[in-house]
Amino acid sequence: MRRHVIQALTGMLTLLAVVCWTLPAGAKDFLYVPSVNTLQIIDCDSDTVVEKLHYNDYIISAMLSPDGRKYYLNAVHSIYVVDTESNTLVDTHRFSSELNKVDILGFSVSGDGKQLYMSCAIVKKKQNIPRLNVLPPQFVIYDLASRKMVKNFPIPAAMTGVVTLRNDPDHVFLVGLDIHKLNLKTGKMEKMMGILNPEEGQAPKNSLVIWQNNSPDDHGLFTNPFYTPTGMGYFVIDKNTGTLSTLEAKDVWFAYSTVVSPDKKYLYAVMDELIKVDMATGETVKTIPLETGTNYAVSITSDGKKVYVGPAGADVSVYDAETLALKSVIPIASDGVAAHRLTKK
Amino acid sequence: MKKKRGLTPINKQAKRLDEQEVFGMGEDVMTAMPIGCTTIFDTGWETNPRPETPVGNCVSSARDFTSCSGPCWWPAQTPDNITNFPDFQNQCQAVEKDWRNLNFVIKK
Repeated sequence: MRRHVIQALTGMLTLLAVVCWTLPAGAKDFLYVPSVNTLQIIDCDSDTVVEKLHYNDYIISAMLSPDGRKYYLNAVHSIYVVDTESNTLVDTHRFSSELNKVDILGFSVSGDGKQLYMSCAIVKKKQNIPRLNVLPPQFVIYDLASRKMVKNFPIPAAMTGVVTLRNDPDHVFLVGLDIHKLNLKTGKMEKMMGILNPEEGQAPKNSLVIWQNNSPDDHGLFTNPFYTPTGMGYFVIDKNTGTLSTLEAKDVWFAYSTVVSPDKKYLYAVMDELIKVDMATGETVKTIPLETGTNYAVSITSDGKKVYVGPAGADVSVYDAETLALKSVIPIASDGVAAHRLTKK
Repeated sequence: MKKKRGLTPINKQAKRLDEQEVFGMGEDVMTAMPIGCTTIFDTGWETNPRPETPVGNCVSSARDFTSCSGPCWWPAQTPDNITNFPDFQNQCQAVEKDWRNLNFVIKK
């Protein structure tokens, strides 16, 4: 009898341990939505805006730090830093001045959260001299604590995507007119895939790389649509392995950005429709026109049950990830471009 | 740093300006396209198949107008909110609702 009780208790403890491991106690999803002049924080349980943070700027892109404790907002000329525990604006890094105009086209946060990797377009002018000097596009490694540039490398123009790798702190992917792997120590670049400048025998591709909809605790798959003269596909950068692959789409949909479900089975893409694609086959599982119109960003809850579409206009729509049924539309203060899901434990 | 032909600083302030560099980088003059416009094929603006308004994107009152005014996506019909109209976003924060506040054509 005693033996059975011990076995039963052991089983129950094991089950409890498994449950605790898969569902961290108190884990809760929030959606951070930086729009014009306002950062909205949406509670993904109630689908309501629970906090707002004000600034006076237009945010072109945003990125959570790898530990999720900071949210960096790119205002093109400056980077705002939001503490996600207190939901307060804690710092602003300004890069432009009257004579030196620095545009941050794309950026990312280093794995240790100490540096920013920025793709910059820089124009200089001199006082009283009617002439602008356009410098070569630069990749800038910026140290957040000392507020200084650590390194800079010349890079090709229009590199709007900087994708960090979770297990390789020495390299990043630069994505723009083509895809390159950049060595952060030497500045040496290796072309991984041609987009505008394809490999011999291949057709050129078109791709707009503005959105990285990833969350810090997700699977690490960054995906983006591309188009060829005959069809479309998605390129996939695995941030865990540092590998690049493509998924051929069976149908053509016009999409701004994408997110992959937590189980990596489906890809969701948005522009004027919400499109659900099978990650194994490239087949369209389902598509629906978006009720609110054009939208830019797409996010998914950590349990994979709800998809958040938007913003573009001043709202975010909530869809059922399985059926793509519209559940609700959450009004926000203003127009925006980015949104990111953050799970707080 | 390269010396410019015919431009020699003659006082301390001019010397300081001449020596000032962005992040310590060199000053070789060359052309480089900024983000957007013709350098990247934007898959959205010309393809909106919506049968009802807004039929096209990037028109005032459309949801993507504000972001089109950013880094040179549509510099002709949208305010350039990086250089010439940096506070454009304060005129109409949600353009679908308050597009009537647009006044970027005539700078006041």
